[in-house]
Amino acid sequence: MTTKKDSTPVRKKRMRNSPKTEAQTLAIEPAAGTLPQEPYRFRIFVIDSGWKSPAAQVVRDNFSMILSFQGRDPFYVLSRKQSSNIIRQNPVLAGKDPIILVRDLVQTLDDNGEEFHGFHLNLGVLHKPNQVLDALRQFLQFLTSHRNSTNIERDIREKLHRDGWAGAIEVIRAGAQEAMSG
Amino acid sequence: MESISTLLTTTLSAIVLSVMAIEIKRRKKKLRELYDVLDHEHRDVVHQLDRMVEQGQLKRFALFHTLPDDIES
Repeated sequence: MTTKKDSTPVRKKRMRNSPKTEAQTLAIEPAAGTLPQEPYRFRIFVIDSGWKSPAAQVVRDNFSMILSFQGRDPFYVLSRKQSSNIIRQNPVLAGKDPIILVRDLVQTLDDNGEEFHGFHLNLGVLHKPNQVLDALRQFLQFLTSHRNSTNIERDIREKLHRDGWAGAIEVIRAGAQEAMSG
Repeated sequence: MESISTLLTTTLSAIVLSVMAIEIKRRKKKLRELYDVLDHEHRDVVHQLDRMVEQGQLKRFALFHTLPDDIES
């Protein structure tokens, strides 16, 4: 989400008497220059540079559904310009947007001393709208059902990456289902 | 004749199993591309996003917000 050009702070808007103002009081803004104190597990970002692709269309058409799954987690939508900038500066994201990036705020250090964890859904790698919708649903369901997971990367490898023998069987089953449905 | 038949069956089974293994590997690779885990490659991305939140360039999206104008279809 971009900042508004008129830079009107949300607090001032609360003074006005309207249903929209009441809803706006639900918005949480950190004090300038500080990291927000967020008692949430995830911080979710949507990166969409604006390509007119089936994946992008599905995300835009189902945006309210995506929002409904976020729960209390802070949700940030980058503008087209912000998305293009971040993709340009980080080629690892190129060709994969729209991306839903989930930063796991649980502070654990891995072997390399990295303090961040999380995962991202790269919808740009899919080309059929029904595949995009299925992936989106699965991802959001995973997010909801694993928010209390102690090791989310392990759960992703098991449940979403289908690692291991059980995963291989699941891949075969899904492939057979696809072949039958045509 | 029987040995040829056995050989043929074994060869075909090996081919089918190989194709299945290749297809499973391909699909799993696709799944890893689709559901990617953040690692050291994404360090800069994460830091940039955190900085954007800290500096107020990104504000938390709430239900009453509309999408940024340049992202709506």
